[in-house]
Amino acid sequence: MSEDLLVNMIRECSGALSDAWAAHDAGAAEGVRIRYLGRKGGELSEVMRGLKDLSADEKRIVGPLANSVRAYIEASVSAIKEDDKEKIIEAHRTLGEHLRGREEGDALSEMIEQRASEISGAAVAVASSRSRLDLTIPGRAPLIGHEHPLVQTMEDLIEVLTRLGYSVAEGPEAELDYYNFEALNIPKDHPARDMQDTFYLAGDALLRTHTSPVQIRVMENQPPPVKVIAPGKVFRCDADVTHSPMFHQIEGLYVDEGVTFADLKGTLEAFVREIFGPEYRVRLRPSFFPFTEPSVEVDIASDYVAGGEWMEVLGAGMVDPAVFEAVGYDPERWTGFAWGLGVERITMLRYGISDIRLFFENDLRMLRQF
Amino acid sequence: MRISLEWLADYIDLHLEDAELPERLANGLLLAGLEVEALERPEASFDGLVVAEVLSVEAHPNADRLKICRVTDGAGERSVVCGAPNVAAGQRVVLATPGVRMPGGVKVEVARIRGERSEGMICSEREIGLGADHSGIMVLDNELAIGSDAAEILGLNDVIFDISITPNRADCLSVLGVAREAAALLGTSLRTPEISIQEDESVSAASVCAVEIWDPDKCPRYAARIIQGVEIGPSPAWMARRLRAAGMRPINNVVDVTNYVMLSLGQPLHAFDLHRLAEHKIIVRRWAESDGPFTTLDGQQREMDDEDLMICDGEKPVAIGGVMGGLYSEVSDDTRDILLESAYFTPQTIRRTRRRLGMSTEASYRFERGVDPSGTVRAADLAAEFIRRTAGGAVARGAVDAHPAPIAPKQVPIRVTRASSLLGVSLDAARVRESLESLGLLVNDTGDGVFSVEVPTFRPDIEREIDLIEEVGRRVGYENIPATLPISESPAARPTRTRSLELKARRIMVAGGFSEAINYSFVSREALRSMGWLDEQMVELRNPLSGEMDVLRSTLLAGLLANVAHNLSRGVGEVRLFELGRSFHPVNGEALPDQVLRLAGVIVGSAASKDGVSLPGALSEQKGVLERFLESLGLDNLRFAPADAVPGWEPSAVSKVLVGEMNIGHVGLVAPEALGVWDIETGVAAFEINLAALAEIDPAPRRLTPLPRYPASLRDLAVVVDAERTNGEIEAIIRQSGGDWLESVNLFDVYQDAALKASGEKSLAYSLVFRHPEATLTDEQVSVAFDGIVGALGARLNARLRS
Repeated sequence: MSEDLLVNMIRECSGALSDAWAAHDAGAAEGVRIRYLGRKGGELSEVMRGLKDLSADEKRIVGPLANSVRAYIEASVSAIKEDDKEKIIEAHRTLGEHLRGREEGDALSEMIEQRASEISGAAVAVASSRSRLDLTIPGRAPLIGHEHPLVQTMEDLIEVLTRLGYSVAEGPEAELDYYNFEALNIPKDHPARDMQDTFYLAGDALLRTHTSPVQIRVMENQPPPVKVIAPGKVFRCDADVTHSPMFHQIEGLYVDEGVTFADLKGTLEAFVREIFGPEYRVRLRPSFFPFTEPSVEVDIASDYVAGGEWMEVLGAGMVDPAVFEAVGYDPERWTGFAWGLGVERITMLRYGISDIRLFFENDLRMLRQF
Repeated sequence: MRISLEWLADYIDLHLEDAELPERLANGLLLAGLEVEALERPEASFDGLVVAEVLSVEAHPNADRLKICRVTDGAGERSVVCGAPNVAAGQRVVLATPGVRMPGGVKVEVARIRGERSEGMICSEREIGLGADHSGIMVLDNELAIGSDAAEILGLNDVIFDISITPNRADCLSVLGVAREAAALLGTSLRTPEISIQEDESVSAASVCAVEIWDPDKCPRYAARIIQGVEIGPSPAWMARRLRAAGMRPINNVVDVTNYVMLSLGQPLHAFDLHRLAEHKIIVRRWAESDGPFTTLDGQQREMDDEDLMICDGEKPVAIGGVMGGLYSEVSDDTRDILLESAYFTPQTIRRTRRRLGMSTEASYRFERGVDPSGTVRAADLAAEFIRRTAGGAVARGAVDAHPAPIAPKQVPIRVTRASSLLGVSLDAARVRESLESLGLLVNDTGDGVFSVEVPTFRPDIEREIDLIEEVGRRVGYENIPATLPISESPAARPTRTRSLELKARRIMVAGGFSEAINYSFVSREALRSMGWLDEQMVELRNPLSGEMDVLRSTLLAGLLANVAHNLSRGVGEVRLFELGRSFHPVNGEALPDQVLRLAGVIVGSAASKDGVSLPGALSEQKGVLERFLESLGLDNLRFAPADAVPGWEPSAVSKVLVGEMNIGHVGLVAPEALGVWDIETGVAAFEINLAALAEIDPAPRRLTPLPRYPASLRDLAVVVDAERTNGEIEAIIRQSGGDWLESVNLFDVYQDAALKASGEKSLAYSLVFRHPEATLTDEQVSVAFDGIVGALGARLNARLRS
């Protein structure tokens, strides 16, 4: 019984090995080794493990045959891995000799000899066809699409901020006056309303002019501490080469006990260096936003970009106590900071884009560059 | 706000000879929050720019537009070719003599222009970088000495800081205010100018005019000064130059003084012709119906309402308070006697009126941000004295100062510890005190580390402790505050289901060959109408930028089709785009529209089916991507069913996308009328689904299906059915009748040849996979199942096997 098994095994494994040789496929050769010689469940290993249960006569026949098949597989596999023609032919010859003169052995031996000569012929053929391939020929391009460059920037920013512990929050684009202005300490008759040209909808609705209303919605819905970012579209009635009536912002808000202006500075520095690179310097200068105090504009500069000139990239500040009062947080206990940046501006700096309108034409010749 | 360095030196000690000073000062102001947007230095070498007189003007023999002028620069006469239409004999002009290097780098040289010798150049405002006017040459005051240094007179060597003042810093809308900041950062003291006014003791202002304030809420203070016997004429050169440097045009010696004092101190002033004021009286009151429309000095007739504050004489309005004077009472060349107004109007009043009128003036800009209510009389005194000096006349004794509602300085407390803990830097009491005092605030120690700060009325923005802390922070300098990273204890929350869906949709669309578009949220109402949307389905913008963007989008397809047209017109053939974004839908009784996150895709390709029964290639691909996306979400009850008329879709080629019974969107071909809006002549396959609705559906939990251990049996089934039948119906019957071991059903061919067409039929071919989980199926078992399917199809759809 074991002997029949071995004979079948020889037929199968020699076929697999000669295929693997022809294909220069070391992986396939390894597959053959595992199938037959694998420690667990290898077919030949099982046979050898079963030797002890055989009668003495059977042992005498099967034992040496199993050993020589194992030697054959081992030698062939390593020959294929090493691409060593002499070695694989030698392995076949050895097995062929061992089989000759046995029952069925001649036929098997013949088959093995046959394989050996195929291998030696194939080796010649392969060798002669192995002239160098022209790998300067381009590969066939799979059809893949491209993410919008603004989305790429936005997702990069979100990724960095998520690592800094910020959760993503979202709010409506068509927003109420209350959230966009009133709750952010911008009453109806405040000159700061002129800082942002607003698109109005019916009644008290408008298109949000910044992502800051998301701050209010988040704080209304949860007690402090708060650590969120709000990415999204914002709208202002303004259109030229550097102003688009719709653009994207990311707003950050951090509220906790004992948050300081120094924390704001440290966070902005860490953030800028993550996004732009460690060589960037960060400068905070006083500014004004109705919903933060102190308020700052943040400039960055690198010796390697734009001759080291400062570039304005974000606005920030400590959350104004009036905003905390609007959402029912105690401004004596909680402090926090908020910042907002324009995604278009950063994308333009990043990729050297000078006309903001290009982002919204969705010209594939542009999109495919990113 | 344009601030002249030389003017600034009136208020603080500056080493003007220090070449580095402008740069240093600009940087200091910037870091103090006064953003110097531009530092304008003389960019040219104006040595040789002189005041000259035009002696004669003759036509150029070879050019119609050119003239040959004889000019004298005091040292001698020369010929200059000039093209300006306004050049005339007797004018004092700015002459650039050969050797002057003009702004822009051109050097003036002796040249022949159309054959005539020209020994210099008569300059326009723009040519010497003084202003934008290039309509003609600049004509100077005839009093100026011929041959004098024009660069000096015009202030061309001055340095100008163009500063962007944030809305909270009304006090910095003047040279004095900027000087106060500069003094603090240079560590020097501010010099408030002493006004020694020379009055005519024989006449008191109160005996000439009266002031009544009927509405002290809107106008807490109104001061008037009287100057009699003035002679209207041009302003002196030094004043004209400073006005020009600040970006204002000189007008006459009275109006210029009001502007000059406004720029100096921040207090807007207005000069009335006294004799145009009935009863020589000023009444400050609200507009009344009987007043009628009001004509401002720019000649415009304006409709007023009863919240508007008017400056009236004994009979009628003569000015819109704090916004603009009236045409009738304006100072003219014949004016002899003047009533000078210096008032404080409340910011809300001015803002309301000027917004309603849609206008902004230098005066309204300052009043609505808040001028110093304590500075009214000082500004009136300074202006009266300047008018006396430049326009002559006598200043009547005293000011008529109506002050019914005095505004007292505020007392604001600040805790030293709070300043330290909020800024994150350790500050002692001395540092806090010194910071505030350097800005002109008065600090009183009330003990326990608390200061009570008296805030002068020129800083209306400081009302709360936080406002003082900001001032301390500014004075300490943000560069001197350490940078620390807050320690966060809680990790970021997981992305919401909507956001995860969005990310997944993007990944799958990109992998499917679609590039991402981002379109405006607004579109043209006309385009939506042409697609079949009704006006009541649209959300309207009250103030659109243009008719191209006058409603919010109710579908993402509008933007994507515009992108298709854009790309096709630029020769990009293979267009596959998708967009993730919101659409907007009015909701009755709600203040905000419904805002629905959607995913839409478009793909350009023929809309024709090759045989009438299979899907057009583009639509097949489009639907394939959509299906892959939906399957990836683990939705196991996805269906497609014919849709009724939907705006934008071709009725014969659109299907609802159903998850269970919920309609989440559509897939199909875009209707030709919709394509026509953007002149698209090829077919476009598309889909649009409601991603927000998908996020509401809980996906089936994902479990591994064990890999098969027994071989499968494959059978192909080709059936001929009535052409009206759908794959959906057939597949459903196959699945129902295929028995437990039917593992999968895959349609691999749909076709209709001439014979089938003639009989009104089509053929569909499926590959069926049967498998038993625990055993190898026998041929017989598979045949029974297969025959069951064939039988069911025959019975229910009258289908027959294709032979």
